[in-house]
Formats: sequence, C-alpha cells, structure tokens
Amino acid sequence: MDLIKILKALKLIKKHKLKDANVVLYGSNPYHCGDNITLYLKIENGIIKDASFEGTGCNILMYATSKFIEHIKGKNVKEILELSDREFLKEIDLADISKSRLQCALLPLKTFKEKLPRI
Amino acid sequence: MDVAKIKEDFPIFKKRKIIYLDNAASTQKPIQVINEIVDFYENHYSNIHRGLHILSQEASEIYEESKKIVANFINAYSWREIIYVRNTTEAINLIANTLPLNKGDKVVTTIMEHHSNFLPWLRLKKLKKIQLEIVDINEEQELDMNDLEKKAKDAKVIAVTFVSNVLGNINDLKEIRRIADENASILIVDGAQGVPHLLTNVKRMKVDFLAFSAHKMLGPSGIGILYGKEELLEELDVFLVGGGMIKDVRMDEFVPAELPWKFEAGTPFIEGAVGLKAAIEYLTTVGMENIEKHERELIKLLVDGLEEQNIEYYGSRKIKKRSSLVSFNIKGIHAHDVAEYLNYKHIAVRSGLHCAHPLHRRLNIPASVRASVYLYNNEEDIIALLDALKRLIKELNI
Repeated sequence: MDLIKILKALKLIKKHKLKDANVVLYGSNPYHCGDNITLYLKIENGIIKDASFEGTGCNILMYATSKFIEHIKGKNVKEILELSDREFLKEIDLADISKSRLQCALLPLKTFKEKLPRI
Repeated sequence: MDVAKIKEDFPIFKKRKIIYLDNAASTQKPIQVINEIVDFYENHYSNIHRGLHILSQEASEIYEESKKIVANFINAYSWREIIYVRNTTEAINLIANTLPLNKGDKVVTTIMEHHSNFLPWLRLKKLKKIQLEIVDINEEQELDMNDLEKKAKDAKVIAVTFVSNVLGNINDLKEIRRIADENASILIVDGAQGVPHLLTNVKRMKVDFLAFSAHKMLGPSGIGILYGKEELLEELDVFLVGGGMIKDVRMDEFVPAELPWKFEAGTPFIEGAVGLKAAIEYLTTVGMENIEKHERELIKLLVDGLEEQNIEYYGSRKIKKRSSLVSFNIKGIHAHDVAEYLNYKHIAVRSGLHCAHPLHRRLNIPASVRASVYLYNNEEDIIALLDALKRLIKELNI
C-alpha cells in the first residue's frame, strides 16, 4: 500500500448525495475514531444503477469508500453481498493494509452487507 | 541527566528500530524493572499474607516495601494510604462507588478529563441522580478557573486531572484546592499523566485522593495506585469483597480488614508491585525534577517546530504550564493517516480521540495526533518527528 499515493488520490474524490437514491445506508466506526459514511444507492431489479457517498473520517476510509462506490456501480446486489473482505481489499489495491487500519478500509463493504435491507 | 546512558537501560531500544513517542499511552521498561520481576519469580515468589512459610513472608515483605516506596515517592503520610488496584480507571471507580454520595449531591469534573475520570461520575448521575457539573476550558485552552469557581459552589466532590492527556496542560491544583476548601469539597486528582512526569507531593498539594498507573511510569501494566487520606479511606465503605480484605467473617456478617487491605480483595498483582517498586527507584535515581526539566525542553522544541510549520496544536501556549505531551492536526490529513505515515518512518505516536470524546467535540476536531515524551527521548527524536511531518506536508503539497 502506498499511503502517499492514496492521500494524493483523495484530492480527486467527490463526495455527494445521490438525489434519486432509493437506499441510504449509514455506517460508522465509533469505538475510537468516530469515522462515518453514508452510502447512497439507486437499486433497480437487484442492480445497482448508481451510487455515491458522503462522510467524514480518515483518508483510508474515504479512499476505500470511493473505490467501493466505483466498484459496485452497475453490479448485481447479490454479487456485492458475496464479495469477501480479501477480494475487496485486493480489488481496491489495499491487500497489504496494516491490521490496525483494516476496519477503516472495510467499513463500506461492511456497511453494505450489514445494513442493506434484505428483500 | 545523561539521556544516552538512560536509553542504554531499555532493552527494547537495542532490539527495535523505533522512535517511541507514545509514552502517554504507556512507557517502555528498563532492565532494572525487568530484572527485579525476574528475580522475584526466581527467588521469592509466593502468595502474600496467607502463609507462615519463608517464601510467603518474603513476598509479603517485598509487597509492603513496594507500598512504602510509593508512599515516599508521593510523600504520603503512611503506606497504609496506598491501595493497589489495576489502573487509574479502577482507582477512580473505587472512589466513585464507595463515596457516600446521594441524590442531588454535586460532583464537579471538567471537559478535559480522560474517560476514566468522567464515566464513573456520569454513571452516578444516572444511578444516584447526583448533580454533575462539567467545567469548560477558556480561550487559551486552559481550564476555566472562573467557571470552576462558579460551578464548585457547595460541591461535595471536585474530580480533576493533574495533566490533560490531550491538551498537555498542567492544571493549577493549588488554586483548585483553594476552591475546594472554600466549599469543603473532596478533591480527587487523576494523576495518570502527571505523577510519572512531575514531582508529586500529596501533602503540599493537599489532595484527598490521587490515582495513577504504574505502566505509564516504567512499571508493569495491570497495577494502578490509589492514594487516599487515611481518615477518608477509613470512612469509605468497602469496594470489592471476598478474600484478603476481611478481619473476620461469620455466617451473617463480616468485619473489613485494616487499611490498606480493606480495599484489596483477592490475590493482588504481586509481581506488579515488585516492578512498580523498581520503576520508582529508577525514577528517583534519575530525579523527578531532572525528568520534568528535560521533558519541557523537548516539548518546547516540539511546539516551536509545529508553530514554524503552521501545524495546529492544542492546549496552553505557556510552556511552563505544559507537561510531556502535545496533540496536533495537519490540515487536510486525518490523524490516523498522519500516524500511519509516521509509523512507516519508525515513529510511534498515537492518533484518535485518546479516551477524551467530550474534549474533542469541544475543540470541534474529529481526532488528533499525540506525541508524548519520557526521560529516554532526546532532541533527535523530536527533530525526526518534525522532519517527517515536514516531508509529509511537502509530498502532499498541502
């Protein structure tokens, strides 16, 4: 993991609220950091048509969430629910993240898996 | 004070390449402490108090000797005023749970407390409906003494930290004592960040209770100290009950033991007491005044460097009011990311909320990076930190 590269990439990240979202998911890591994200999803017939996010917190979390949003667009909800932590980390180039930052990087996926209402 | 020689005493610095600036969380251990614990295990180990055999006698003597060393270190009246618990948090829980507080009684604490001196009182607000007042900080980010004076009116208890674990400020305990006296309040001091770094004299400071932890002063983790004035400790009800803390037990009643055993239920952390004794002997040999002076020089170097780089830091601007730590934030980079970057450069700092959520909310910051020094840190450590921060800012072009 190249921290500097990630920190630089952050400047390009755009956080915004998706106006026509039909699913809004909130996730947080309250224990010692207080970081939080909100995922805005437009899901139709099990397909994620569009997505965006807002939130505050460390840059690993912001980076991971923006990559997550990028990754899920156009995909099947079921496919994302089946995505393993390891696969996700590999997908977003954070496979070698330190143990203490895992919770930051995994929060978007965790939020999606745990908070998405089961239909 | 020969820092190079001191550093030689800490095996970890020979084995690991690290600049350790996380001393407010916990400190490293010198060989003298390690050896004393090993020697105790190899030559004297036994349970205390219970046995007539030679090992139990020796272990008991060593355990009591440890309390005498602690009593002397903080200039307590007697070693019976030294209660061993697990840590500062447990010490304050002990007091909060045994003080005879009733509905409507006023307890005053501050916005800058570590949760260990906040939650025990917050819980009493719910459980016993005590009146909890929280003293604010002023514009200088120091404890607002006017606010304290106002809120302390008729307070039963004033519970305040010696040194803030985020701001790094040393609170004016003399003035706080004056205010406590005016209101006949009991003064409880959280000494976790103060006692390891500043010469502490409970007689002169006239504190009623003082809590601190061994692991933040070169000793083992898992042993904390509660000092209390003898007459106050006598009055308090027992806390944990069971083995070791009684004089007599009958079918329907029990008589608590004398101080300090009344508050030490169950087999204590005996080897912890041994390590604590060695730690205090080490600190005393170096001299607390020397440690304080050395740390202040390092902190001055650090805050000057932060100011030069326009890095926002918290707490008093008056260097003589500061102790061994500085918390800061680089604009645009989250504290965790700064700490992670520093970790790549083999510099250990802490990031997050440092068990002080109310203070971070008050300062309106999501988290902070905290660098904290101890007697084995030197100028090179601080320069390395400042250089790394400079490099991070340059690389990100912020």
